[in-house]
Amino acid sequence: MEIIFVLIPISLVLLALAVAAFFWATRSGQYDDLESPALDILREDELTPKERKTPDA
Amino acid sequence: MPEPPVRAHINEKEEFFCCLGCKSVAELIAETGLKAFYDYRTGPSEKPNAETAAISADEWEAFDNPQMQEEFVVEDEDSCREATLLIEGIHCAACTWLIRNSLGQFEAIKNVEINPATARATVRWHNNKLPLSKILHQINRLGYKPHPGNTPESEAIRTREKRTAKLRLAVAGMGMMQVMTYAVALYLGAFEGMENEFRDFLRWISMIVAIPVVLYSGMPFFKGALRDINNRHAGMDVPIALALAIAFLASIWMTLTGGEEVYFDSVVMFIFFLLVARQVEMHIRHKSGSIADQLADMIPGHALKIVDGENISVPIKQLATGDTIRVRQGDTVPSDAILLEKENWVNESLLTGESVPVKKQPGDDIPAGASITGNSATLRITRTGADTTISIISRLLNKAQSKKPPLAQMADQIASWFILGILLLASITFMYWTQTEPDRALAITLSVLVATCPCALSLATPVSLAAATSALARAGVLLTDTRVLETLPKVDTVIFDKTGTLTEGQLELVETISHGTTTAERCREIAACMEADSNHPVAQAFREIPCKINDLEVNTQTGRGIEAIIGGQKYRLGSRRFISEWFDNIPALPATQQSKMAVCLAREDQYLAWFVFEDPLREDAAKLVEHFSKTGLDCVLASGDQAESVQNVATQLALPISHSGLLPGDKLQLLDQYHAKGKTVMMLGDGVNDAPVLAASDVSVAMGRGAALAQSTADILLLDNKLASLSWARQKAMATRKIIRQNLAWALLYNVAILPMAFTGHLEPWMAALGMSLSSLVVVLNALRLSKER
Repeated sequence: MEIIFVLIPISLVLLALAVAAFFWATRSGQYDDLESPALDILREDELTPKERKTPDA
Repeated sequence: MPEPPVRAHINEKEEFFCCLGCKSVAELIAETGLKAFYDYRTGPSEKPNAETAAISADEWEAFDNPQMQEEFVVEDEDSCREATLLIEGIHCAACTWLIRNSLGQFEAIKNVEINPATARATVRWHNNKLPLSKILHQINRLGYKPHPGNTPESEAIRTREKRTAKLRLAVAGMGMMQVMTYAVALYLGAFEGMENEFRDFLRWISMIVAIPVVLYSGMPFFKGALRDINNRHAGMDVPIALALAIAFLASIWMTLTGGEEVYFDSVVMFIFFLLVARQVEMHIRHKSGSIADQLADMIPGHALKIVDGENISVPIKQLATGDTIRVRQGDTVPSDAILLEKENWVNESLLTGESVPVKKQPGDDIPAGASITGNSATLRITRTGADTTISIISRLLNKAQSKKPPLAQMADQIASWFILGILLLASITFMYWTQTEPDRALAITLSVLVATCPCALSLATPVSLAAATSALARAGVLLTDTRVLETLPKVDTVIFDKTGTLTEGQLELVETISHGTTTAERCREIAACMEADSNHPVAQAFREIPCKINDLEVNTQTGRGIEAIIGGQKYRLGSRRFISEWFDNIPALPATQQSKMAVCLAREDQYLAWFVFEDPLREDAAKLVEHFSKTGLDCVLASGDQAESVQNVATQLALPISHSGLLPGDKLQLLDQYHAKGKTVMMLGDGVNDAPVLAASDVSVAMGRGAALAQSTADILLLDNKLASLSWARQKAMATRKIIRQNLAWALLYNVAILPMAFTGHLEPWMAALGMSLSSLVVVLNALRLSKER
């Protein structure tokens, strides 16, 4: 069972990485808006043949 | 359904629209391939009207001026700029989707982020490829109105608060999962036997994981406890912090010295559950807080100052008393001012909740927050910033709110005694056992502390309040202060405001008295066509009726009426005086309709019809009053309106007591009278002039559509304007009270029962910890019964 002396610290390192990732994600505002991303993935590409570069006046 | 008049071809299918505004929006959406918008949106979009209507491209050019941009635009690297905007008209995530994707098709746009909850947008773009004015114009073309937005301080603070809370919760949650895994191993080891080296190892690991949880996630409790102690007040944070500290430190000691038990699992679990409860509470507090911010947003950031006959755009902050400004039709007045030049109409609904425009003569005062309904007005500033009426009211309200008596103080009192009692008991235990069996002294003392730790007790109330609050929020009843759930069952008197609260606050056409050969229906259609583009609240009443007349030319004469030419003939819609400019023999209104608002329609040669309007009662008003009366509450009507209309409503709703013609000061006096009699009063109101009374009452309720300031000070917001929700909310509050009592009873029972066992050394610490966790769980599960919706 001595293997847990190795495995558990490794799991702690992974845990630390997970926590760090969560910190980064939260701090960069990824969790601020939870509604819009759900709609983004549903969009089908319906772009008209000429893609607009500048708006009409 | 009658056929709307405007047609267009969209994507090879003929579609119908109610007006040209909607047609152009639809065409734009189709052109840019964003038709999916119609599938995603959760409700119909706002019809572009005079306020959000397409402002021509060049009007946006003022925003390209770097001085203008100072307030809300920052420059990134290499000519990339970032603008913060507030976009009017956003209802749901689909709207943000539409705007984001529509803007996203321009190459020059780097990034667009819009928050649907706060309607705030951040746009990053290459300024050398695309000027800001074009971006704003595009948003406008979609039917929304963008404003320069500066993030108010409170919003930034709230975002930080939300993020920190999330991080703390995450750390606690992840730590908890780890530590509990180790704890399972340790428990099994305690039963089956485990070599010391493994046991110690697991304990050390548990300790390492628990340290950040306790020190980071648990910090709010320690800070709160210190604050409580500094204020000489034994609040709930004190026993929590104490239990955490003692359990944690004792566990560390046990780990270092190879002692009996460690309690890291209890400690982290406790922190996690408490954080969850607080998270729910904070989420709800934030949702209501942003409404107060929207009030701040309603005051525009820039104004047109008239200097040497030229209109120059300046930031509001730079305006001074005596400056002359121009405010266009539909725009908001930025500061208290006097009207110059000619008479005009203003909408003061932000302050009074009344949507009927008020006529102003030159020299009349116009408060900040009012909007101009007539043609553009010239104003001279009388008061700025903190001196404006709206700011003064805001400040008074802040003061009134902080003095509000919290009825949760009694629970705190009991808790204080309880805590002192526990500490005393623990000390006695320690002293006794040190003399009897010194080996077990610490373990037994810890058992006593853990067993009597009022964890369940301190969870009992907050968790129940949180569950009830979120159930109510989901049903459209927003509680800005959870303590109101404790006060609500105690209410014995209800004071109702009239306009906007018991009534819809909007005019409805109740009768058409037509004359001669023209049918009432035809008259209504003519009127509807004439009022189609009008801002006047009377126009609202005609919105439902479609206009099929094509040969129509409308000329709005602000403040007087509307004149139109239909089929070569002139028509007028307006007051009796307006019509009497043509001819004199206009029939009077029947006696029953004399007191109501009425408008006359006439052709050049002949009177056609009278239209009578009324502000109708909300459909559930009668039910609510009935329900309250039946449950034994005294219902009172208090309104600033004249006696006749107030009496009318009182009779219809069977309200025994009614007062009319009240000024805000009078309403406050009325409230004081009831307070003097020892009554607990609930007040329902709508306008800003109700706000001071709302703040002083024991429970205040505001309608979701009412003046923003009233909303931000009320305890309860009826978001969907359904009065019936209030009676359900009261039932919920009573159920909450019942469940809190059950929880408190259970928690106390548990603590009292377990105490003798712990004191006499019959309780193993692990049993104490397990018992504590289980009793907390019971309390939480019981509280969850409150999250059922009706």
